[in-house]
Amino acid sequence: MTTLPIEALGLGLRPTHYRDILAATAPPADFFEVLSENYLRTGGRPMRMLDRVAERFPVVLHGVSMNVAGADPVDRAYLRELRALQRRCGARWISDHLCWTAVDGVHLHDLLPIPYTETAMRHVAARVRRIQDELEQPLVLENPSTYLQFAGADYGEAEFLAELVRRTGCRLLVDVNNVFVSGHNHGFEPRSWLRAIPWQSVVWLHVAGHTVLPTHRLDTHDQPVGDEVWRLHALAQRLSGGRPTVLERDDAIPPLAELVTELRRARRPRPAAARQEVPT
Amino acid sequence: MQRWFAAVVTHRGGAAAGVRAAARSGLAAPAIAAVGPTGFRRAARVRVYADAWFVRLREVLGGDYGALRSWLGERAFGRLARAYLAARPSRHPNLNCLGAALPLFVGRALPGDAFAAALARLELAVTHAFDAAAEPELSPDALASVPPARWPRVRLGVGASVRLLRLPAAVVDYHTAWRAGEAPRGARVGQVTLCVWRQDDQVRQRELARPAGQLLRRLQRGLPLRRALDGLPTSLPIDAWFAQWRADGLFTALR
Repeated sequence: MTTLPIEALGLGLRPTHYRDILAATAPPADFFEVLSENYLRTGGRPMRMLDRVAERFPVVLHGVSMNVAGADPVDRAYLRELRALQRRCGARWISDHLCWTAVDGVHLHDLLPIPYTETAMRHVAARVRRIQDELEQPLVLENPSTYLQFAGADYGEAEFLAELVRRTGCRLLVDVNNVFVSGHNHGFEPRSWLRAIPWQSVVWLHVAGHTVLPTHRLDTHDQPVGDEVWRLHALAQRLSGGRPTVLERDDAIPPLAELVTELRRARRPRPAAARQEVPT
Repeated sequence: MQRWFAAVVTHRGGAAAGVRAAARSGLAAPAIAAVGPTGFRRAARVRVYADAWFVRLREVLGGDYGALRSWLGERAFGRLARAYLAARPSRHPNLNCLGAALPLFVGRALPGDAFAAALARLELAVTHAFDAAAEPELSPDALASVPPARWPRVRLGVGASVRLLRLPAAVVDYHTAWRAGEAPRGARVGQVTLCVWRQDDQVRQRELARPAGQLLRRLQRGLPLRRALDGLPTSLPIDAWFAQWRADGLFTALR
Protein backbone atom coordinates (compact mmCIF):
# COMPACT_ATOMS: atom_id res chain seq x y z
CA MET A 1 0.00 0.00 0.00
CA THR A 2 1.19 3.50 -0.80
CA THR A 3 1.22 6.53 1.47
CA LEU A 4 0.07 9.74 -0.15
CA PRO A 5 2.41 12.75 -0.16
CA ILE A 6 0.71 15.83 1.19
CA GLU A 7 1.00 17.68 -2.11
CA ALA A 8 -0.52 14.79 -4.12
CA LEU A 9 -3.27 15.69 -6.58
CA GLY A 10 -5.88 13.08 -7.36
CA LEU A 11 -8.85 12.57 -9.64
CA GLY A 12 -12.00 10.55 -9.19
CA LEU A 13 -11.58 7.56 -11.52
CA ARG A 14 -14.36 7.59 -14.11
CA PRO A 15 -14.90 5.01 -16.88
CA THR A 16 -14.95 7.66 -19.60
CA HIS A 17 -11.27 8.42 -18.82
CA TYR A 18 -9.89 4.85 -18.61
CA ARG A 19 -8.35 4.90 -22.05
CA ASP A 20 -6.74 8.35 -21.72
CA ILE A 21 -5.37 7.60 -18.26
CA LEU A 22 -3.72 4.40 -19.43
CA ALA A 23 -2.43 5.94 -22.66
CA ALA A 24 -1.04 9.11 -21.05
CA THR A 25 2.71 9.60 -21.36
CA ALA A 26 2.77 11.98 -18.39
CA PRO A 27 0.77 10.91 -15.30
CA PRO A 28 -2.52 12.86 -15.34
CA ALA A 29 -2.69 12.70 -11.54
CA ASP A 30 -0.64 11.49 -8.58
CA PHE A 31 -3.40 9.10 -7.47
CA PHE A 32 -6.98 8.10 -8.21
CA GLU A 33 -10.01 7.84 -6.01
CA VAL A 34 -12.09 4.79 -6.87
CA LEU A 35 -15.87 4.65 -6.34
CA SER A 36 -15.98 1.37 -4.43
CA GLU A 37 -19.46 0.24 -5.44
CA ASN A 38 -18.62 0.49 -9.15
CA TYR A 39 -16.17 -2.37 -8.69
CA LEU A 40 -18.14 -4.67 -6.42
CA ARG A 41 -20.02 -7.55 -8.02
CA THR A 42 -18.64 -6.90 -11.45
CA GLY A 43 -15.98 -8.88 -13.22
CA GLY A 44 -15.57 -7.46 -16.67
CA ARG A 45 -14.04 -4.36 -18.12
CA PRO A 46 -14.37 -2.24 -14.94
CA MET A 47 -12.22 -4.66 -12.93
CA ARG A 48 -9.68 -5.04 -15.68
CA MET A 49 -9.38 -1.27 -16.01
CA LEU A 50 -9.08 -0.83 -12.26
CA ASP A 51 -6.34 -3.45 -12.16
CA ARG A 52 -4.41 -1.59 -14.83
CA VAL A 53 -4.87 1.83 -13.22
CA ALA A 54 -3.86 0.44 -9.81
CA GLU A 55 -0.71 -1.08 -11.33
CA ARG A 56 0.43 2.41 -12.28
CA PHE A 57 -1.07 4.75 -9.69
CA PRO A 58 -1.83 4.76 -5.97
CA VAL A 59 -5.57 4.46 -5.35
CA VAL A 60 -7.94 5.08 -2.45
CA LEU A 61 -11.45 3.66 -2.11
CA HIS A 62 -14.44 5.94 -1.75
CA GLY A 63 -17.85 4.41 -1.09
CA VAL A 64 -21.42 5.59 -0.73
CA SER A 65 -23.25 2.60 0.78
CA MET A 66 -21.62 1.72 4.10
CA ASN A 67 -24.61 3.10 6.02
CA VAL A 68 -22.23 4.36 8.69
CA ALA A 69 -24.95 6.03 10.75
CA GLY A 70 -27.75 3.61 9.90
CA ALA A 71 -29.98 1.77 12.33
CA ASP A 72 -29.70 -1.57 10.49
CA PRO A 73 -26.97 -4.00 11.55
CA VAL A 74 -23.53 -3.28 10.11
CA ASP A 75 -23.34 -5.10 6.76
CA ARG A 76 -20.38 -7.42 7.31
CA ALA A 77 -20.69 -9.02 3.88
CA TYR A 78 -20.35 -5.61 2.25
CA LEU A 79 -17.32 -4.83 4.40
CA ARG A 80 -15.72 -8.13 3.40
CA GLU A 81 -16.27 -7.27 -0.26
CA LEU A 82 -14.65 -3.88 0.34
CA ARG A 83 -11.64 -5.50 2.00
CA ALA A 84 -11.26 -7.90 -0.91
CA LEU A 85 -11.41 -4.98 -3.34
CA GLN A 86 -8.85 -3.10 -1.26
CA ARG A 87 -6.49 -6.07 -1.32
CA ARG A 88 -6.92 -6.46 -5.06
CA CYS A 89 -6.12 -2.86 -5.93
CA GLY A 90 -3.79 -2.07 -3.03
CA ALA A 91 -5.88 0.90 -1.92
CA ARG A 92 -4.34 2.82 0.95
CA TRP A 93 -7.60 3.93 2.53
CA ILE A 94 -11.29 3.02 2.65
CA SER A 95 -13.59 6.02 2.91
CA ASP A 96 -17.32 6.71 3.09
CA HIS A 97 -19.62 9.40 4.47
CA LEU A 98 -21.05 10.57 7.77
CA CYS A 99 -24.63 9.71 6.87
CA TRP A 100 -27.11 6.87 6.70
CA THR A 101 -28.07 5.17 3.44
CA ALA A 102 -30.40 2.27 4.28
CA VAL A 103 -33.14 1.35 6.72
CA ASP A 104 -35.04 -1.91 7.23
CA GLY A 105 -32.87 -3.46 4.52
CA VAL A 106 -33.91 -0.93 1.88
CA HIS A 107 -31.04 1.00 0.32
CA LEU A 108 -31.80 4.58 -0.67
CA HIS A 109 -28.48 5.18 -2.45
CA ASP A 110 -28.25 8.70 -1.10
CA LEU A 111 -26.24 10.37 1.64
CA LEU A 112 -28.96 11.11 4.18
CA PRO A 113 -28.58 13.49 7.12
CA ILE A 114 -28.25 12.60 10.77
CA PRO A 115 -29.08 14.60 13.89
CA TYR A 116 -25.98 15.93 15.60
CA THR A 117 -27.08 14.86 19.06
CA GLU A 118 -25.25 13.03 21.81
CA THR A 119 -27.52 10.02 21.25
CA ALA A 120 -26.52 9.93 17.60
CA MET A 121 -22.87 10.40 18.59
CA ARG A 122 -22.94 7.30 20.78
CA HIS A 123 -24.69 5.31 18.06
CA VAL A 124 -22.36 6.39 15.26
CA ALA A 125 -19.20 6.01 17.35
CA ALA A 126 -20.15 2.44 18.26
CA ARG A 127 -20.77 1.62 14.60
CA VAL A 128 -17.55 3.24 13.42
CA ARG A 129 -15.60 1.18 15.96
CA ARG A 130 -17.38 -1.96 14.77
CA ILE A 131 -16.67 -1.12 11.12
CA GLN A 132 -13.03 -0.41 11.89
CA ASP A 133 -12.73 -3.74 13.70
CA GLU A 134 -14.13 -5.50 10.61
CA LEU A 135 -11.90 -3.55 8.24
CA GLU A 136 -8.89 -3.79 10.58
CA GLN A 137 -7.98 -0.19 9.83
CA PRO A 138 -9.22 3.32 10.51
CA LEU A 139 -12.21 4.35 8.44
CA VAL A 140 -12.01 7.66 6.60
CA LEU A 141 -15.24 9.66 6.91
CA GLU A 142 -16.35 12.51 4.67
CA ASN A 143 -18.71 15.35 5.53
CA PRO A 144 -21.65 15.16 3.07
CA SER A 145 -23.56 18.05 1.56
CA THR A 146 -26.81 18.37 3.46
CA TYR A 147 -30.07 20.18 2.81
CA LEU A 148 -31.71 19.94 6.21
CA GLN A 149 -30.66 19.82 9.82
CA PHE A 150 -32.60 18.41 12.72
CA ALA A 151 -33.63 20.50 15.70
CA GLY A 152 -32.16 19.80 19.12
CA ALA A 153 -28.54 19.36 18.02
CA ASP A 154 -25.85 19.08 20.68
CA TYR A 155 -23.04 19.61 18.17
CA GLY A 156 -22.35 21.48 14.98
CA GLU A 157 -21.29 19.20 12.12
CA ALA A 158 -17.58 19.99 12.45
CA GLU A 159 -17.69 19.52 16.22
CA PHE A 160 -19.53 16.22 15.73
CA LEU A 161 -16.80 15.00 13.39
CA ALA A 162 -14.07 16.15 15.77
CA GLU A 163 -15.65 14.31 18.67
CA LEU A 164 -16.15 11.22 16.51
CA VAL A 165 -12.44 11.25 15.71
CA ARG A 166 -11.64 11.54 19.41
CA ARG A 167 -13.91 8.62 20.36
CA THR A 168 -13.05 6.24 17.52
CA GLY A 169 -9.71 7.20 16.00
CA CYS A 170 -11.33 7.40 12.57
CA ARG A 171 -9.83 9.70 9.93
CA LEU A 172 -11.51 12.47 7.99
CA LEU A 173 -11.92 13.39 4.37
CA VAL A 174 -12.85 17.06 4.23
CA ASP A 175 -14.97 17.89 1.21
CA VAL A 176 -14.46 21.62 0.87
CA ASN A 177 -17.31 21.98 -1.61
CA ASN A 178 -19.66 20.20 0.79
CA VAL A 179 -18.63 22.56 3.59
CA PHE A 180 -19.47 25.47 1.32
CA VAL A 181 -22.80 24.03 0.13
CA SER A 182 -23.94 23.01 3.60
CA GLY A 183 -22.73 26.33 5.03
CA HIS A 184 -24.93 28.19 2.56
CA ASN A 185 -27.92 25.90 3.08
CA HIS A 186 -27.74 26.03 6.88
CA GLY A 187 -26.39 29.51 7.42
CA PHE A 188 -23.07 28.63 9.02
CA GLU A 189 -19.68 30.11 8.28
CA PRO A 190 -17.53 27.63 6.29
CA ARG A 191 -14.27 29.12 7.57
CA SER A 192 -15.33 28.53 11.17
CA TRP A 193 -16.25 24.96 10.20
CA LEU A 194 -12.74 24.41 8.86
CA ARG A 195 -11.17 25.85 12.01
CA ALA A 196 -13.09 23.35 14.19
CA ILE A 197 -11.69 20.30 12.41
CA PRO A 198 -8.83 18.22 13.92
CA TRP A 199 -6.50 18.54 10.93
CA GLN A 200 -4.04 15.95 12.13
CA SER A 201 -6.74 13.35 11.36
CA VAL A 202 -7.56 14.62 7.88
CA VAL A 203 -6.22 12.36 5.15
CA TRP A 204 -7.29 14.15 2.01
CA LEU A 205 -9.56 16.88 0.65
CA HIS A 206 -12.25 16.98 -1.99
CA VAL A 207 -13.12 19.80 -4.32
CA ALA A 208 -16.05 19.78 -6.77
CA GLY A 209 -18.55 22.03 -8.48
CA HIS A 210 -22.08 22.74 -7.34
CA THR A 211 -25.23 24.33 -8.71
CA VAL A 212 -26.59 27.65 -7.46
CA LEU A 213 -30.39 27.65 -7.21
CA PRO A 214 -32.63 30.54 -6.12
CA THR A 215 -33.17 29.16 -2.63
CA HIS A 216 -30.20 26.88 -2.00
CA ARG A 217 -27.08 25.26 -3.41
CA LEU A 218 -27.01 21.73 -4.74
CA ASP A 219 -23.97 19.45 -4.71
CA THR A 220 -24.06 18.32 -8.34
CA HIS A 221 -20.42 17.67 -9.37
CA ASP A 222 -21.40 18.71 -12.88
CA GLN A 223 -19.32 21.85 -13.41
CA PRO A 224 -15.94 23.34 -12.58
CA VAL A 225 -15.08 24.19 -8.99
CA GLY A 226 -16.22 27.71 -8.11
CA ASP A 227 -13.82 30.43 -6.99
CA GLU A 228 -15.33 30.59 -3.50
CA VAL A 229 -14.66 26.87 -3.06
CA TRP A 230 -11.06 27.29 -4.27
CA ARG A 231 -10.61 30.08 -1.71
CA LEU A 232 -11.92 27.77 0.99
CA HIS A 233 -9.59 25.04 -0.26
CA ALA A 234 -6.64 27.42 0.12
CA LEU A 235 -7.66 28.02 3.73
CA ALA A 236 -7.94 24.27 4.32
CA GLN A 237 -4.43 23.83 2.97
CA ARG A 238 -3.11 26.55 5.26
CA LEU A 239 -4.85 25.12 8.33
CA SER A 240 -3.78 21.56 7.59
CA GLY A 241 -0.21 22.26 6.57
CA GLY A 242 -1.04 20.57 3.27
CA ARG A 243 -3.18 17.62 2.33
CA PRO A 244 -3.72 15.68 -0.92
CA THR A 245 -6.65 16.97 -2.97
CA VAL A 246 -9.08 15.02 -5.16
CA LEU A 247 -11.17 16.73 -7.83
CA GLU A 248 -14.55 15.03 -8.24
CA ARG A 249 -16.68 15.21 -11.36
CA ASP A 250 -19.71 12.95 -11.84
CA ASP A 251 -21.85 14.59 -14.48
CA ALA A 252 -21.11 16.52 -17.68
CA ILE A 253 -17.66 14.99 -17.39
CA PRO A 254 -15.15 16.86 -19.58
CA PRO A 255 -12.10 15.36 -21.32
CA LEU A 256 -9.33 14.22 -18.99
CA ALA A 257 -6.98 17.02 -20.07
CA GLU A 258 -9.53 19.63 -19.00
CA LEU A 259 -9.88 18.08 -15.54
CA VAL A 260 -6.11 17.86 -15.18
CA THR A 261 -5.84 21.58 -15.92
CA GLU A 262 -8.53 22.33 -13.34
CA LEU A 263 -6.87 20.06 -10.79
CA ARG A 264 -3.62 22.03 -11.06
CA ARG A 265 -5.37 24.93 -9.32
CA ALA A 266 -5.14 22.84 -6.16
CA ARG A 267 -1.37 22.71 -6.32
CA ARG A 268 0.46 24.48 -3.55
CA PRO A 269 4.22 25.10 -3.42
CA ARG A 270 6.11 21.95 -2.58
CA PRO A 271 7.68 22.11 0.88
CA ALA A 272 11.42 22.76 0.73
CA ALA A 273 12.00 19.94 3.21
CA ALA A 274 12.03 16.26 2.31
CA ARG A 275 8.82 14.75 0.99
CA GLN A 276 6.10 14.85 3.60
CA GLU A 277 3.37 12.30 3.92
CA VAL A 278 -0.07 12.32 5.44
CA PRO A 279 0.04 11.00 9.03
CA THR A 280 -1.21 7.40 9.24
CA MET B 1 -36.48 9.26 12.08
CA GLN B 2 -34.89 7.07 9.39
CA ARG B 3 -38.14 5.16 8.76
CA TRP B 4 -40.04 8.45 8.42
CA PHE B 5 -37.40 9.79 6.06
CA ALA B 6 -37.39 6.65 3.91
CA ALA B 7 -41.19 6.58 3.74
CA VAL B 8 -41.30 10.22 2.63
CA VAL B 9 -38.41 10.13 0.17
CA THR B 10 -39.56 6.98 -1.61
CA HIS B 11 -43.29 7.68 -1.74
CA ARG B 12 -44.76 7.14 -5.21
CA GLY B 13 -46.62 10.42 -5.04
CA GLY B 14 -43.61 12.53 -4.11
CA ALA B 15 -42.42 14.08 -0.87
CA ALA B 16 -45.59 15.99 0.09
CA ALA B 17 -47.75 12.89 -0.35
CA GLY B 18 -45.08 10.95 1.52
CA VAL B 19 -45.30 13.28 4.52
CA ARG B 20 -49.09 12.82 4.64
CA ALA B 21 -48.79 9.04 4.25
CA ALA B 22 -46.14 8.84 6.97
CA ALA B 23 -48.40 10.75 9.33
CA ARG B 24 -51.29 8.38 8.59
CA SER B 25 -48.96 5.43 9.30
CA GLY B 26 -48.11 6.84 12.70
CA LEU B 27 -44.46 7.54 11.86
CA ALA B 28 -43.23 10.43 13.99
CA ALA B 29 -41.91 13.30 11.90
CA PRO B 30 -38.53 14.60 13.07
CA ALA B 31 -38.22 18.28 13.95
CA ILE B 32 -36.39 20.03 11.15
CA ALA B 33 -34.38 23.06 12.22
CA ALA B 34 -35.27 26.47 10.84
CA VAL B 35 -31.80 27.58 9.78
CA GLY B 36 -30.25 29.03 6.65
CA PRO B 37 -31.95 30.90 3.79
CA THR B 38 -35.51 31.80 4.71
CA GLY B 39 -36.74 30.97 1.20
CA PHE B 40 -35.50 27.40 1.52
CA ARG B 41 -38.47 26.04 3.42
CA ARG B 42 -38.66 22.77 5.32
CA ALA B 43 -40.83 21.05 2.72
CA ALA B 44 -38.43 22.07 -0.05
CA ARG B 45 -35.50 20.69 1.93
CA VAL B 46 -37.17 17.29 2.21
CA ARG B 47 -38.10 17.47 -1.47
CA VAL B 48 -34.43 17.81 -2.44
CA TYR B 49 -33.82 14.32 -1.08
CA ALA B 50 -36.99 12.85 -2.56
CA ASP B 51 -36.26 14.26 -6.02
CA ALA B 52 -32.63 13.17 -5.91
CA TRP B 53 -33.59 9.65 -4.86
CA PHE B 54 -36.00 9.14 -7.73
CA VAL B 55 -33.90 10.82 -10.41
CA ARG B 56 -30.80 8.85 -9.42
CA LEU B 57 -32.51 5.47 -9.45
CA ARG B 58 -34.50 6.20 -12.60
CA GLU B 59 -31.24 7.06 -14.34
CA VAL B 60 -29.62 3.84 -13.12
CA LEU B 61 -32.55 1.85 -14.50
CA GLY B 62 -32.47 3.91 -17.68
CA GLY B 63 -28.76 3.16 -18.04
CA ASP B 64 -29.34 -0.59 -17.81
CA TYR B 65 -32.55 -0.52 -19.86
CA GLY B 66 -31.87 2.14 -22.46
CA ALA B 67 -33.66 0.34 -25.28
CA LEU B 68 -36.71 -0.26 -23.09
CA ARG B 69 -36.70 3.43 -22.18
CA SER B 70 -36.57 4.29 -25.86
CA TRP B 71 -39.39 1.84 -26.67
CA LEU B 72 -41.71 3.08 -23.91
CA GLY B 73 -40.85 6.78 -24.13
CA GLU B 74 -39.65 9.00 -21.29
CA ARG B 75 -42.94 9.46 -19.44
CA ALA B 76 -44.02 5.84 -19.53
CA PHE B 77 -40.54 4.72 -18.49
CA GLY B 78 -40.66 7.15 -15.57
CA ARG B 79 -44.03 5.72 -14.46
CA LEU B 80 -42.67 2.20 -14.80
CA ALA B 81 -39.58 3.13 -12.75
CA ARG B 82 -41.75 4.65 -10.00
CA ALA B 83 -43.93 1.56 -9.82
CA TYR B 84 -40.95 -0.80 -9.92
CA LEU B 85 -39.06 1.05 -7.17
CA ALA B 86 -42.16 0.95 -4.98
CA ALA B 87 -42.68 -2.76 -5.59
CA ARG B 88 -39.03 -3.80 -5.55
CA PRO B 89 -37.02 -1.33 -3.45
CA SER B 90 -33.27 -1.69 -3.60
CA ARG B 91 -32.04 -4.33 -1.17
CA HIS B 92 -28.36 -4.24 -2.01
CA PRO B 93 -25.63 -1.65 -1.49
CA ASN B 94 -24.61 -2.04 -5.11
CA LEU B 95 -26.77 -0.38 -7.76
CA ASN B 96 -25.73 -3.08 -10.23
CA CYS B 97 -28.46 -5.20 -8.68
CA LEU B 98 -31.23 -2.59 -8.86
CA GLY B 99 -32.82 -3.64 -12.15
CA ALA B 100 -32.47 -7.41 -11.80
CA ALA B 101 -36.21 -7.97 -11.37
CA LEU B 102 -37.39 -5.43 -13.93
CA PRO B 103 -38.08 -7.91 -16.79
CA LEU B 104 -40.41 -9.95 -14.57
CA PHE B 105 -42.00 -6.75 -13.31
CA VAL B 106 -42.56 -5.45 -16.84
CA GLY B 107 -44.33 -8.69 -17.69
CA ARG B 108 -46.81 -8.09 -14.88
CA ALA B 109 -47.05 -4.28 -15.03
CA LEU B 110 -47.47 -4.09 -18.82
CA PRO B 111 -49.36 -7.28 -19.66
CA GLY B 112 -50.32 -5.98 -23.09
CA ASP B 113 -46.75 -5.23 -24.11
CA ALA B 114 -44.91 -8.53 -24.57
CA PHE B 115 -42.37 -6.70 -26.71
CA ALA B 116 -41.32 -4.57 -23.72
CA ALA B 117 -40.91 -7.62 -21.47
CA ALA B 118 -38.77 -9.39 -24.07
CA LEU B 119 -36.67 -6.28 -24.62
CA ALA B 120 -36.10 -6.04 -20.87
CA ARG B 121 -35.00 -9.70 -20.76
CA LEU B 122 -32.47 -9.02 -23.51
CA GLU B 123 -31.10 -5.94 -21.75
CA LEU B 124 -30.80 -7.82 -18.45
CA ALA B 125 -28.80 -10.52 -20.27
CA VAL B 126 -26.45 -7.82 -21.58
CA THR B 127 -26.02 -6.42 -18.04
CA HIS B 128 -25.35 -9.90 -16.65
CA ALA B 129 -22.78 -10.57 -19.34
CA PHE B 130 -21.10 -7.24 -18.62
CA ASP B 131 -20.88 -7.88 -14.86
CA ALA B 132 -20.14 -11.62 -14.84
CA ALA B 133 -16.98 -12.79 -13.11
CA ALA B 134 -13.92 -12.93 -15.36
CA GLU B 135 -12.81 -16.44 -16.33
CA PRO B 136 -10.00 -17.64 -18.58
CA GLU B 137 -11.17 -19.19 -21.84
CA LEU B 138 -10.46 -22.83 -22.48
CA SER B 139 -7.44 -23.06 -24.76
CA PRO B 140 -7.35 -25.08 -28.01
CA ASP B 141 -4.55 -27.14 -26.44
CA ALA B 142 -6.74 -28.13 -23.50
CA LEU B 143 -9.43 -29.34 -25.89
CA ALA B 144 -6.93 -31.14 -28.12
CA SER B 145 -5.52 -33.01 -25.13
CA VAL B 146 -8.78 -34.91 -24.52
CA PRO B 147 -8.46 -38.53 -25.77
CA PRO B 148 -11.26 -39.33 -28.27
CA ALA B 149 -12.61 -42.13 -26.07
CA ARG B 150 -13.18 -39.70 -23.23
CA TRP B 151 -15.25 -37.15 -25.17
CA PRO B 152 -18.68 -38.71 -24.49
CA ARG B 153 -18.12 -38.28 -20.73
CA VAL B 154 -16.61 -34.80 -20.91
CA ARG B 155 -18.50 -31.91 -19.37
CA LEU B 156 -17.65 -28.54 -20.89
CA GLY B 157 -17.93 -25.62 -18.51
CA VAL B 158 -19.76 -22.70 -20.12
CA GLY B 159 -18.67 -19.21 -19.01
CA ALA B 160 -20.67 -17.36 -16.37
CA SER B 161 -21.30 -14.49 -18.78
CA VAL B 162 -23.18 -16.68 -21.28
CA ARG B 163 -26.94 -16.12 -21.46
CA LEU B 164 -29.28 -17.97 -23.84
CA LEU B 165 -32.58 -16.38 -24.72
CA ARG B 166 -35.51 -17.25 -26.93
CA LEU B 167 -36.91 -13.95 -28.17
CA PRO B 168 -39.00 -12.42 -30.93
CA ALA B 169 -36.63 -11.57 -33.78
CA ALA B 170 -38.23 -8.12 -33.88
CA VAL B 171 -36.97 -7.46 -30.34
CA VAL B 172 -33.43 -8.39 -31.33
CA ASP B 173 -33.68 -6.13 -34.37
CA TYR B 174 -34.99 -3.22 -32.31
CA HIS B 175 -32.21 -3.63 -29.76
CA THR B 176 -29.54 -3.88 -32.44
CA ALA B 177 -30.77 -0.70 -34.12
CA TRP B 178 -30.99 1.12 -30.79
CA ARG B 179 -27.42 0.16 -29.89
CA ALA B 180 -26.23 1.44 -33.24
CA GLY B 181 -28.12 4.67 -32.75
CA GLU B 182 -30.26 3.95 -35.78
CA ALA B 183 -33.98 4.07 -36.36
CA PRO B 184 -35.62 0.64 -36.01
CA ARG B 185 -35.66 -1.16 -39.33
CA GLY B 186 -38.34 -3.40 -40.79
CA ALA B 187 -38.60 -6.08 -38.17
CA ARG B 188 -38.43 -9.79 -38.83
CA VAL B 189 -41.17 -12.11 -37.66
CA GLY B 190 -40.83 -15.27 -35.59
CA GLN B 191 -38.59 -16.24 -32.70
CA VAL B 192 -34.82 -16.57 -32.54
CA THR B 193 -32.36 -18.12 -30.10
CA LEU B 194 -29.84 -15.55 -29.01
CA CYS B 195 -26.57 -16.16 -27.18
CA VAL B 196 -25.23 -13.14 -25.23
CA TRP B 197 -21.78 -13.30 -23.69
CA ARG B 198 -18.65 -11.30 -22.95
CA GLN B 199 -15.29 -11.73 -24.64
CA ASP B 200 -12.30 -9.39 -24.46
CA ASP B 201 -14.33 -7.02 -22.29
CA GLN B 202 -16.97 -6.65 -25.02
CA VAL B 203 -20.53 -7.90 -24.68
CA ARG B 204 -21.32 -9.84 -27.84
CA GLN B 205 -24.36 -11.61 -29.20
CA ARG B 206 -24.97 -14.23 -31.84
CA GLU B 207 -28.12 -15.87 -33.12
CA LEU B 208 -28.02 -19.64 -32.96
CA ALA B 209 -29.94 -22.33 -34.81
CA ARG B 210 -32.55 -23.65 -32.41
CA PRO B 211 -30.87 -27.08 -31.93
CA ALA B 212 -27.54 -25.31 -31.35
CA GLY B 213 -29.21 -23.33 -28.59
CA GLN B 214 -30.63 -26.54 -27.09
CA LEU B 215 -27.19 -28.16 -27.13
CA LEU B 216 -25.47 -25.16 -25.56
CA ARG B 217 -28.14 -24.93 -22.87
CA ARG B 218 -27.61 -28.62 -21.99
CA LEU B 219 -23.87 -28.02 -21.72
CA GLN B 220 -24.60 -25.02 -19.54
CA ARG B 221 -26.60 -27.30 -17.24
CA GLY B 222 -23.51 -29.49 -16.86
CA LEU B 223 -24.58 -32.51 -18.91
CA PRO B 224 -21.79 -34.69 -20.29
CA LEU B 225 -21.35 -34.41 -24.03
CA ARG B 226 -23.06 -37.70 -24.90
CA ARG B 227 -26.23 -36.77 -23.02
CA ALA B 228 -26.14 -33.22 -24.33
CA LEU B 229 -26.17 -34.59 -27.87
CA ASP B 230 -29.06 -37.02 -27.19
CA GLY B 231 -31.78 -36.70 -29.78
CA LEU B 232 -29.94 -34.24 -32.03
CA PRO B 233 -29.69 -35.42 -35.65
CA THR B 234 -26.13 -36.36 -36.65
CA SER B 235 -26.62 -34.35 -39.82
CA LEU B 236 -26.36 -31.11 -37.87
CA PRO B 237 -23.06 -29.14 -38.21
CA ILE B 238 -22.12 -29.81 -34.60
CA ASP B 239 -18.35 -29.65 -35.22
CA ALA B 240 -18.75 -26.20 -36.75
CA TRP B 241 -20.84 -25.03 -33.78
CA PHE B 242 -18.18 -26.18 -31.33
CA ALA B 243 -15.42 -24.51 -33.34
CA GLN B 244 -17.40 -21.26 -33.29
CA TRP B 245 -18.16 -21.46 -29.57
CA ARG B 246 -14.53 -22.19 -28.76
CA ALA B 247 -13.42 -19.22 -30.86
CA ASP B 248 -16.06 -17.10 -29.12
CA GLY B 249 -14.55 -18.08 -25.78
CA LEU B 250 -17.75 -19.64 -24.43
CA PHE B 251 -15.97 -22.61 -22.81
CA THR B 252 -14.05 -22.07 -19.61
CA ALA B 253 -13.56 -25.53 -18.11
CA LEU B 254 -13.20 -29.17 -18.99
CA ARG B 255 -14.34 -31.76 -16.50
